[in-house]
Amino acid sequence: MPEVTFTVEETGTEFVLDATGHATLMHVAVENDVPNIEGECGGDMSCGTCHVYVERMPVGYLAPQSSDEIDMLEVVNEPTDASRLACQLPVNESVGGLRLRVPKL
Amino acid sequence: MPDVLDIDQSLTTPSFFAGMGFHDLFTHLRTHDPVHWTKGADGRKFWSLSKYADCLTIMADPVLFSTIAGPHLPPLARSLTPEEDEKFGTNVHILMTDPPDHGRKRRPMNKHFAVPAVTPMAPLFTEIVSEILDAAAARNDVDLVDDIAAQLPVKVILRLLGVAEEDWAALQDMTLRTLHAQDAEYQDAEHDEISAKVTYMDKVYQYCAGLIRDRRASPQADYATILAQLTDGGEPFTEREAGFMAVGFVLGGLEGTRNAVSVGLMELMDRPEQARLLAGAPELAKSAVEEVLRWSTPSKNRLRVLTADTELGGHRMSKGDWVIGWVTSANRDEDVFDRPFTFDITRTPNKHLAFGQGAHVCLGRAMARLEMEIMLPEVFRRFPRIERRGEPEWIVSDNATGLKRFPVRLNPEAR
Repeated sequence: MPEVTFTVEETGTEFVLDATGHATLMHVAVENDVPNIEGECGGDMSCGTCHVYVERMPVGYLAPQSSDEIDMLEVVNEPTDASRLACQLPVNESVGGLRLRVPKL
Repeated sequence: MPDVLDIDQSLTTPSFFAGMGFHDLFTHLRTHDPVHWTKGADGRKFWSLSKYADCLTIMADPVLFSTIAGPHLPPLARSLTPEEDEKFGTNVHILMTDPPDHGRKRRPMNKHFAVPAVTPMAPLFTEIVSEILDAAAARNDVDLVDDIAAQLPVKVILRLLGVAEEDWAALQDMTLRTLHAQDAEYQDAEHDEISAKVTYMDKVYQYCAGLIRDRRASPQADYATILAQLTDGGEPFTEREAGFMAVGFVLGGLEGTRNAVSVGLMELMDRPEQARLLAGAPELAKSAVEEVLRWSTPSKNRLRVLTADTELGGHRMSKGDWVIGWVTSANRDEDVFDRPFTFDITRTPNKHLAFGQGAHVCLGRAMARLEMEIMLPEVFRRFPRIERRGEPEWIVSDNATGLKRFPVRLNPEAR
């Protein structure tokens, strides 16, 4: 049971969630009603509503960034080097322990 | 129960779709013949899909279900000639381009229309809404369509694109003539429905290509400049590609919003308790907008062409067949929506297909949503008792759902 953690910046609320059965971290968040992650486009990288900061990357977890993702991250609120689109973070066997911070949408 | 001839005749008669009465036919089809082979009096035969799930299927697979014949059922269900295709932007306009070419053209635009790019425009949109409603208030007796609904996207979209104000009316007119060739009001003696559509599309394109050339020479802070500077892996888009992106911005931006807003305001006027609720609780704006989009479905159908034989709903379909997804019917599907024929601004969830879905989902949807979220509550906050001065007139179109005219008095107390 791989556990992932979302901390919502606005309220400080922490969501510790089981990622099993979901395709990506965006899906984990949307299915569990994590605030400020909408995932409106379903993972096509066209809406920019699943911006997160990666706080802890588990050892061996690989989620390479495409040029389309880098492009979209240019327009999100306050992007940093830790910025990612949660729809581009796949759920796989190494995802357990991943910690994300969710900024205001 | 309608007979087959009536069904086919209705589905191929634009005037049948003026209003909301056409929904009875789709309710019948969803139950009895959800994948219906449609034979009109003239033109191509096509499959009519009326269920939500089937509409989703064709939108989810842009390879099997190509958009090369155009995004919607064309007038007279006739294919375009090569000369017409050239003017219409077939294979250039992203709505008429298949993968992988489609993605190559669409991806660079996504970030400019994404929610975080659009949300900061809220103060500008608020200012525009105030400007429109101030002008309307001063006149009191207004046309809900021309003076309010149509003004919103004209002032937002054409300003953002960077179109000079003296050209707004002309572009608005060309847009109506391109998209409403089935309505006698927008026709002229020189053109039949198809030649009108193609000719006016070309006029919009010529205007937009001029904008692109201008912004390549002297960039400005507008969307025309963004489109002019688009690149595909470092390679600039051709003038034709960038020009047709701007065409999409104009046609998509002006028309859908005007139609959704006009129908939405009318439905809210007819339900004063919901209008009051919305005016007093702007946090309901998001769900109200989604319900207006579901209810009106400003673009009723999606055309796809099969690129291989397949089977859908127990029917064998052949390569080359036209398939029409009637999303307007999908948005009333009893299997998906609770009380589908009830207009309810608090409805949630509301996974309507008004913007389409998949690869061709409306690029400007965040902009349209924000425009409507700001305008709808504000109209009823300022004018809580709008009165009819006449009946609404609907656009005659098998695709667009919207009003042409609706005379109203905004503030009945002020004479």
